[in-house]
Amino acid sequence: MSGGMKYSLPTTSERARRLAAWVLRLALALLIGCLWQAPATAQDTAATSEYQVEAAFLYHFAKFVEWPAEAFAETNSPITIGIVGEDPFGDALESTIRNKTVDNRPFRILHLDMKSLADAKRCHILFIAPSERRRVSEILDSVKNNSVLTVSTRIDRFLQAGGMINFFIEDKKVRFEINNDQARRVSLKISAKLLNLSRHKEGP
Amino acid sequence: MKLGLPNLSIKRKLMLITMGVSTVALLLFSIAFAGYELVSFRHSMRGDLRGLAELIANQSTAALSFEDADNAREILNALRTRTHIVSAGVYKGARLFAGYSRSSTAPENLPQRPEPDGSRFEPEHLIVFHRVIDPRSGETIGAVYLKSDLLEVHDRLVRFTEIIGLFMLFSLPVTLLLSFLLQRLISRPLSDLAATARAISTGGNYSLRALKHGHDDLGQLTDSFNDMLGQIQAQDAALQQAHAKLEKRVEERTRDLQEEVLKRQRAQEALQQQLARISLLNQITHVVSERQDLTRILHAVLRQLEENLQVELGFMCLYEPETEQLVVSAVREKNPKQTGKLDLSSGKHIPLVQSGLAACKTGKTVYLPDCGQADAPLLKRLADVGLHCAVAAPLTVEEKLFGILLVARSIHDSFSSGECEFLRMLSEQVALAAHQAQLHSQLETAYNELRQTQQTVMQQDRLRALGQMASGIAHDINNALTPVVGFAQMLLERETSLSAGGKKQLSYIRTAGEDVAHIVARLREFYRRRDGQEPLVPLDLNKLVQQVIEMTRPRWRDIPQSKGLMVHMQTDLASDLPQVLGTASELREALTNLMLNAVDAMPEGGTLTLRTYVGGPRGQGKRGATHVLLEVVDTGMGMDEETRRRCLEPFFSTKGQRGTGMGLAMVYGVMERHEGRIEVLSEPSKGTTIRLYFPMPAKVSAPADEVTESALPPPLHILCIDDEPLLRELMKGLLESDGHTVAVADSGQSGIDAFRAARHHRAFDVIITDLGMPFLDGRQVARILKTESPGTPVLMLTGWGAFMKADGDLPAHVDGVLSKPPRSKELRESLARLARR
Repeated sequence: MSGGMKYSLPTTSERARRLAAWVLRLALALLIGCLWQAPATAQDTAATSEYQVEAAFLYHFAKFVEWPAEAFAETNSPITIGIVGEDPFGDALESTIRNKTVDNRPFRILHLDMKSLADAKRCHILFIAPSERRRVSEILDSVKNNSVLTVSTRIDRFLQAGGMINFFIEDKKVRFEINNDQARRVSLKISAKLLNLSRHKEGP
Repeated sequence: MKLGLPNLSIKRKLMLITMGVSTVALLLFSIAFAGYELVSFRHSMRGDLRGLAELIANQSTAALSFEDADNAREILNALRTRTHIVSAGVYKGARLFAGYSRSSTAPENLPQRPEPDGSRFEPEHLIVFHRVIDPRSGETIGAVYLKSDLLEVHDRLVRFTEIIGLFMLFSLPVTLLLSFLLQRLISRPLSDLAATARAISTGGNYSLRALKHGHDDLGQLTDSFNDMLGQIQAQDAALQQAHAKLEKRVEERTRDLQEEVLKRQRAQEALQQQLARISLLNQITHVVSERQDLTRILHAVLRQLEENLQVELGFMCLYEPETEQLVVSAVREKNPKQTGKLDLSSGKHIPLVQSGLAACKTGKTVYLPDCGQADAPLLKRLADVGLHCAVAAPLTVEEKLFGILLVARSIHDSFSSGECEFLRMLSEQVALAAHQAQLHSQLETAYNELRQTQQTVMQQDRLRALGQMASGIAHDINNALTPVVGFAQMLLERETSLSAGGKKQLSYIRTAGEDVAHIVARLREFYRRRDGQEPLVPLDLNKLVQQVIEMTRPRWRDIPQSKGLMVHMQTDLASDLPQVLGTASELREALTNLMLNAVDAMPEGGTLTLRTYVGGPRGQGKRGATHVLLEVVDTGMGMDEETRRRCLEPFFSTKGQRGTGMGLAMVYGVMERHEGRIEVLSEPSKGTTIRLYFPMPAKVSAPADEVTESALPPPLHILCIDDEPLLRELMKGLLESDGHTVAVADSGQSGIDAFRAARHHRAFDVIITDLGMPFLDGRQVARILKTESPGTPVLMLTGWGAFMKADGDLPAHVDGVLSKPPRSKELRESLARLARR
């Protein structure tokens, strides 16, 4: 074998090795393709998932906040979540509250803009979208004497402006800060358990 | 000695039982109590842990809702005060959200997924899962997991064990003391009872009594024991009495048994005797069965009786019912000198009435204890010769007296009833055997007759075949002889120029030819049927004798002559012998047989005389003659008495291979058929006379007158039909020499044609035709001619002629038969007879 033949057909192990090389090359190409697409999508996805969490938190707030009885027309009147400005949640909020009840009350979403701001008084939770960060005072002012839980996200100095709960991101997680004094002023009882979770946002 | 539980004293047993029972009861109670405590403790522990889980669940709702794991961990860390919690966890959905572990150095592994609500004990731990439910929305948002150790439970168990051990330690001595004191209440009376029982069993004194300690169960036992002793005492006495009685009865029974044994021994002896007799009976039966002859059977039986039954006289008589006489058949005398005076020879007749044995006729066995007392002469004679006691047993077959067996002894009343019974049984056997013997001899006779018949039939067949052959030969010879004799005749009658010597020689030729014809004619005697149906016709015995002499000539003259011997044939025939009724052929054959026997009886030659005469059964002479007798007398070797007696039996022959034994038997048969009788008189070396008796016929018709004169018939016109030219020539010559006119035809058809042609101018007066012709034979010719002209006589000429005439069977339509060779005398006579009609 060693001396007699100079040319020989590839052996079985040789063929396997060639095949493995091809597979490896194919896998590498696919991986590169994926990474190319990744950054932009990842950024979008991160923002989307944060809003999703915030939408869920809006619902959870209803469980840890007690409204005064006069805030509702009847015992099973829905809890109204008002959104002022550009809705950042998309379908997220809608799908969160679907078929959900708290104290046997269903949820209802009410989209508001500056023209229909008068309706804000009828809401139980009012979410002020970041798009309205310049009109915060005006909006808060419209509900300052009503038992409306005002929530915002990514708006600086919201609590100082008279808001009650503000979302922020800490360690890539959605956190919130609570202004309980403001809530108590309009007869909203925020559960101690919720208050325990409140953080103080550091820095501007 | 084994130290097992059963071998302990009752005292120890009682203590052991008390101790054992109390200890076991205590132990069981303690274990049950401890078990209950443990179970209830575990129950409460489970409740506590559940409560704790619920508390944590309630606290962690917000943390779960807002996904604040730090908050959840804080809540769980509050468990650090509860040292028995090993680990805990909070789950959001199916995912572990926050965990806690007691030991920070070796953190516990928490389950990755929550389980359904509930709690469960593991060997070392208690585990609880509890759902976290939001109270306001009613949503299940997670679960709580708690794992507690069981150290507290184990601590409790150890504590219980210690308490029980301690308690037992103190209670045991107290129990021991108490049981020792109390057991004496029971063991004392029992040991007393046992001592009493032992004393009784060793001493056998049933009057001892046990001491009673109180009125409790043991006291009753003691009383019962004492009562029992009293009863045993009484029964013991009764048993002694019964024993004495039983011994007495056994003694009596033994005596009875001995008597019975004696009885049985006697019965056995009787049985053995019986057996001996049965074996004797068997022996006799055996001996008898070997014999077929009646006399020998009877002799054998008597010999056996004399040898085995000590009989001094025994004889057998056969009974003849017609004459009511006993015929002495066999006698056996032990002492012939003494009993010889009785004169009981074989064949002697004794009337049954005189024998005094008439009772035997009714099948009874007669026992005569003293013959002297009887009236019968036979029995009296027995007593006279000293035979005083006799037994007579009847031999009966099919309830008919067949004979009597009589045995006698000299001592009075010396036959036992067993022997009488034996004789009765024996007589039955003998009767049976005797009957068998008779049947046997009858069978033999029947068999012999059958064989004879068979032989006869065979011989007849043979003779018939021979006869048919012989008649064929005869026919041809006759045909051949016809020209010889006929032409010789014609020469003698017509040729006048012949010399005297020539005429003489010619006449010899004719006579010799005629002799040949006679000899041939006799051949037919073979061809005779003997079916007994032939009618008896009147016969001339003398003529018959002559014929037989002629026929047997070769045997009595020629053959002996060839050996140089001479048998003289003499005849002494009565001239005016009346005719007898008979069948010629049979008588001829019988006589032939007798003559041949006579010749055979004279191997050295001698005189054979044939004699006929008329006489009675006892003598010769015409006066008072009743029979016609025929005697065949030879001077040969004769016969002894035995042979003479048996010579008529079939198959009895003294000729060895040559004889069939049928000859004289056949003669006997022939004589029987002729209602005649045969008598054989013979003495050795003095010759034999056979005498045949024929009854004299009442009236014998005279033989028909034959035409004696040979008158010449008138000249006739004759047609002669024959297929043989020589014969036509002869007939033509014969008839024309007598003055007839003759026409000839060479066949049946041409003869008929000639007859028809001649009818119109000159019809034939007589037609002579041959019998055997081709195409149209003589019978057919005769029939045709007779239908056309019944008045024309037809004569038939044939070689069979002699047979036809003798048998009397003339063919139809024929007026006469002439045998070949035709003799001119016969021819003339026939023609004359026909011409006269």
